[in-house]
Amino acid sequence: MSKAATTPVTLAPAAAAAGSLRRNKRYAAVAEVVLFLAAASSVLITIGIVAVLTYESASFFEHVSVREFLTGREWTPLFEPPKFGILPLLSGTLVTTAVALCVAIPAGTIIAVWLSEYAPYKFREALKPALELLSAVPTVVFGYFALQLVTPLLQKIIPGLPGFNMLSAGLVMGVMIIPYVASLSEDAMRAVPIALREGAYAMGATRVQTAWKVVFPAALSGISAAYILAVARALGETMVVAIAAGQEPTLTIDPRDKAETISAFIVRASLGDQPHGSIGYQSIFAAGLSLALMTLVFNIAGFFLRRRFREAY
Amino acid sequence: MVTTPTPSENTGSNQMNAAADVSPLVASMALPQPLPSDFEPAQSPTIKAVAENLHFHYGKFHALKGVSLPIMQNQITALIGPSGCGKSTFLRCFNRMHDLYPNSTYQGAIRLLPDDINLVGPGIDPIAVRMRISMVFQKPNPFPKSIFENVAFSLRVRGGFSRSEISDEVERSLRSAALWDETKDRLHEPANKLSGGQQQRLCIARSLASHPEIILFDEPTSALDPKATRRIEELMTEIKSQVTVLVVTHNMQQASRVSDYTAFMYLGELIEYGPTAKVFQNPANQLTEEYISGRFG
Amino acid sequence: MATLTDAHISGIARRRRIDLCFAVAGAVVLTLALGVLVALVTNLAKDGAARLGWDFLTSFPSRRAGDAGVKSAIVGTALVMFVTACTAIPLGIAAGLYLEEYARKNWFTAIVEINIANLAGVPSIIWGLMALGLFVYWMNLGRSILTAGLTLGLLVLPIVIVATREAVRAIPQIIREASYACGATRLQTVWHHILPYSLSGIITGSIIALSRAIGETAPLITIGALTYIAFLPPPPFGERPWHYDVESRATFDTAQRTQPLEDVSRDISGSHDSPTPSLRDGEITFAWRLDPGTPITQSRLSLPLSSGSMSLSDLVSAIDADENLAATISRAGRLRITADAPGEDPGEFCITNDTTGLIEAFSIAPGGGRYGATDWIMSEFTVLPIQMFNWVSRPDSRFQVNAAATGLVLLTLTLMMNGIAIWLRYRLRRSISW
Ligand SMILES: Nc1ncnc2c1ncn2[C@@H]1O[C@H](COP(=O)(O)OP(=O)(O)OP(=O)(O)O)[C@@H](O)[C@H]1O
Ligand SMILES: [Mg+2]
Repeated sequence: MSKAATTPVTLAPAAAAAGSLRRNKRYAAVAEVVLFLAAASSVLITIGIVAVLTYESASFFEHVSVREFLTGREWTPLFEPPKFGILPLLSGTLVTTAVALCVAIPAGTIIAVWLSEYAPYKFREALKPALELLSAVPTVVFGYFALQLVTPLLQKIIPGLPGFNMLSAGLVMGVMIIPYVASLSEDAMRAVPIALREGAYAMGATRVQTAWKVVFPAALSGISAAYILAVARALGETMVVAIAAGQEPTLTIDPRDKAETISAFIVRASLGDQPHGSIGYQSIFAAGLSLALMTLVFNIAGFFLRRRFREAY
Repeated sequence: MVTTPTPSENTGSNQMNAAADVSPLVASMALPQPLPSDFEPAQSPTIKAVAENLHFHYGKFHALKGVSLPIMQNQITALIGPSGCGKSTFLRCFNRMHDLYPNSTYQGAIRLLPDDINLVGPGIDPIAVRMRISMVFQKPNPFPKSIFENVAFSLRVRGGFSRSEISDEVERSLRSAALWDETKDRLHEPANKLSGGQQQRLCIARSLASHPEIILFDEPTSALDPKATRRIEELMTEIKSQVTVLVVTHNMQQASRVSDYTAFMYLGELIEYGPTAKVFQNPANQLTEEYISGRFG
Repeated sequence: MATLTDAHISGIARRRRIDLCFAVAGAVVLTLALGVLVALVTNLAKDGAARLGWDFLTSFPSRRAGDAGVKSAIVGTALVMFVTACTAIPLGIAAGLYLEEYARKNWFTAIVEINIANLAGVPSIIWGLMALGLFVYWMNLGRSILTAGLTLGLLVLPIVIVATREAVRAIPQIIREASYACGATRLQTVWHHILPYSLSGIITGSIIALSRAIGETAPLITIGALTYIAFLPPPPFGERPWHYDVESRATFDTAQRTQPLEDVSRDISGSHDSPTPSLRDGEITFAWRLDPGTPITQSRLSLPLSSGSMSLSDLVSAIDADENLAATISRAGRLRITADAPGEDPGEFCITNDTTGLIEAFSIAPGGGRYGATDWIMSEFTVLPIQMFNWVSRPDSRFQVNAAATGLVLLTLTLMMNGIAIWLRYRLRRSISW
C-alpha cells in the first residue's frame, strides 16, 4: 500500500469503511425507490383524472344517449324537465375561444417577433418579466376586469350590448393568453440559428424581411405549437367566462350574446352543490369529459410539434 | 495522416484499417504481454495495477481494442497519443467512470495489485473502486462550496470521521497539494474564488484526502497558464511518494518532464510503452516517433 | 445586375420604412398588452382601494357590504397554500430529480414525460372534477382544507417538476463526475451537490407555482369550497367551545316523507361527522337538505345558540335577515327547529324538515376539551379568489367594491410572489459561476 509513512491521521479501518459503504448503498437504493414513486405518481394522477371522468360520465350516459348529448340543442340538466344537449355549451366555448385567439395570436406573434428580432437585449430582459406579471394575474381578477371595465367600454361602442356577453370575456381571455403565445413563440424563434439570420442579412434583407421570411418559417413548428397550446388554454379557461359571459347556455355564434361555456357550467353547477350520484352531478362530469378530450387533442398535438421543433435545432 | 495499403477483412473504415496495420507493432512493446498471473517483478519499482487485454465499447463503438499495460507503483505513467485515440477512455476505466453512462461495456481486466482484484470485473462495486482510485479532471471542477468542504467531501462520503479527524485530514491534503499556505486563512470561503491553478490544486487536494492508491489525471493542465502548469507538474512529482499517478497529456514536454513511464496510444490501441527516456529518445515504433516529433496528431 | 439603380435605392428606402413601421407596431402592441395590466391594476385600485383597510382584512364576511371583510379568506388562503406547498414542492422536487438524475431512457420515462407535459395543460376546472370525485367522495376527505391543498398541489406539480429539471440540468456534468470520482453514491451526489446547487432555481419555480395556486378559483368551487364562512378553522390544541354527540338520526318520521331516510342522514353526516369547527363562538353551523322535488341544495346556517330556544318564525326571520340564506329558506318554509341554550345540563337541539322527515337530533354540552393538532386540516374554508368571485357575482354594486378590494389583496400577493421569483432568477443568472 502506498499510504505515505508520514500520514498523521489514521483512516477508519477497512471493515468499517466497507460497512459504511454498504449502508450508504442501502440508503441510495431506498432513495431511488422513493424518487421513482414520486415520478410515477404523476402517472397515477392521470389515471385518477381519467378514471373519475369516465366513471361518472358512464353513469351519465346510462341515462342520456350519446346521440342526445351530442346533437341536443338545449342544456338544462338542473331543471325539470332536464335536457342534455351539449351544443349550447360547445358553441359558447368555441365562440369565446375564437374571440380570444383573434386577440392572442396576432398580438402574441407580433410581440414575439419584436422581442426576438428587434428589441435590444436590455429591453427584452426587462419586458419579458413584465409580460410574465401579466400572465400571473389571477383569472378571477381578469373576470372582474372584463365585467366592470371592458364590458361598459364595449357598450359605448356597440349599442345594445348586454351586460353579460362573450365578446368582452373572449377579449379579456385573449389578453390573458398573449404572454403565453408570445413567450412560447419567442423561444421558438430564438432557437433558430443565428447563421440563418446572418445569411438573410448578408443578402441585404431588412429586419422585417428576415423576421417574417426567414426566422418565422424556420420556427414555424414551434410557433404553431404555441398557437395550439393557446387554443387548449382558451378552451379550458373558466373564471373570466363564468363572471363576464353570463351563465346561460345559449346556442349562438354571435359573440355579442350572453352564453355559457362548458367550464362555466361546471362552476355554476358546483355552486349549487349537486348531490353525489344525481344526474346533475353526473352531468358535470360528462361536460368535463368533453372539455378534457378537446383540450387533450390540442395538448398532445402541441407537445409533439414542440418536440419536433426542439429536435430540429 | 497514416495511409494503409492493406485492408483488413473485419473492418470497414479507414481508421480501423490504420489500426490493423500498426497492431503487429504492439508486439515490440517494452514489456511482455500478457503478463503471467504470478508476475512478481523482482526489482523496484513494483507494479501497482495492470491492464490486461482491455476492451471497451461505447455502445457499438469499439474505443479500446485490447490494451495491456502495467502501472508502476509510486511512479508517474503518462498516456500520450493523438486526440480521440482513447486515452481518456482508458483512464476512466480505472475508476469505472464509464459506469455512470448507459451502454458501456468492459472486457478484459485491470488488476489492482497486490490484492489482485479485477477493477472492471463483474461483481466489483464501482463505488468501492472509486474510493481507492480518485481522479483529477481536465477543467478544474471544484464544488461550489467552501475550500474546506471541497476537500472534506470524500471523507464525508465515507462517513465515520470525527470533526477533528476531518480537519486534520483537510490540512494534510491541502499541504500535500501545496495549497495550505495560500488557503489556511480562508478555508471557509467559496472555492470558486480561487484562481484556475489554485482550483486545480484544490481538486488534487480533494482527490488526495481519501488516501487513494492511484490518482488519475486527465489533461490536468490543459486549462491552465504555463506558470500554474509548472506548479501542477511539481506537485505531481511531489505526491508520487504517496500515490501512483496516471496522467493523460497532450503536451510532449510535460510527459517527458514529469513522467517515469510513457505509453503511446493510437486508435484505441497501445502502440508503445516504456521508460519515458526510452520512448522519447529511442522510440521503437515509427508511429511513436512521428507523433513525438510532431509530424501528426 | 451590376449597379444599384435609383429604383433599387428607393426600394431600400421603402423597405427601411416598412422596417420602421413594424418596429413601431411591435412596440405599440407590447405597450397595449402591458397597458392592460396597468389598466387592470388602476381599475381595481380606483374601485377598491378606499375599502381596503385594517377592518376589511380582519372582519368576517357579512351580509352588509360595509361590514364585510376577508379574514376567513386570508386565513383559508394561507392554510390551503401551506398544504399545497407541502404537497407540490417535495413531490415535484423528487419527481424532477428522478427524471434528471436517475431515469434511464426507456418507455416508462417517455410516458412520464409526455404525461407531465399533458398534466401541465389540463384545464384547472378538470382538476376540480378529479378532486371532487376522488378526494371528496372516494377518499371521503370532505370539502376540507386538505382536499383543496392536495388539489392545488397536484395542479401546480408540473410547474415544480419542470423548474426542478431545468435547474438540475444547468449543473454541469463535470460536477457530478467530480462527486462520483470521490466515491459518492448517487444519493450522496444528489444530496450534497445536485440539490443544493439547484435550490435557488427550485425555489423560484416553487414560488411561481404557489403564486399560480393562490389565484386558482375554479377547482375549489368545484370541490365545494364555501363562499360564506364566518369562522376560522380550529387552531391546533385550541379549546373546543362545545362538545356534541349525535344522539339519533331518526326520531321523527312523517307521512309525507318522500326520500329514503338513509340518504338524508348521509348528507347531513357529511358535514357533521368531520371534526368541524361548527360549534364555535356560540354558533352552530349545519347543513340541511331541501324538498327533493326542487333542485337540491345544501347550505349552511348559523344559529345563535345564546338566544335560547327559537321559534320557527324567529328562525325564519333570522334567516331571512341573512341574505346568504334567504333564497333557500323560502323553499324550506316548513323547517321546524327547537333549540335549547347549552347550560350546565346538556341541552337538546333538534332540527327537522317536515317534508323529508328527520334531519338531525343531537345534544350539546359546554366545554369539549381541546382540538387535535391537525383538526384544522379537515375544516371547511374559503379563500380569497372564491370570496372575490362570490362578491363579483352579486348585482349589488357595494359588493363589487368589496370584490375590487379583495382583488387588490390577491393581486398584491401574486405580483409580489412573482416579483420575488423574477428577482431571484435574475440574481441567479448573475451569480452563476460554472
Ligand atoms: N461517450 C462516448 N460515446 C461514444 N463515443 C465516445 C464517447 N466518448 C468518447 N468516444 C469516442 O471514443 C474515442 C476515444 O475518445 P477519448 O475521449 O478517450 O479520446 P482521447 O484520447 O481522450 O482524446 P482527447 O485527447 O481529445 O481527449 C473517440 O473516437 C471518441 O469519439
Ligand atoms: Mg481526453
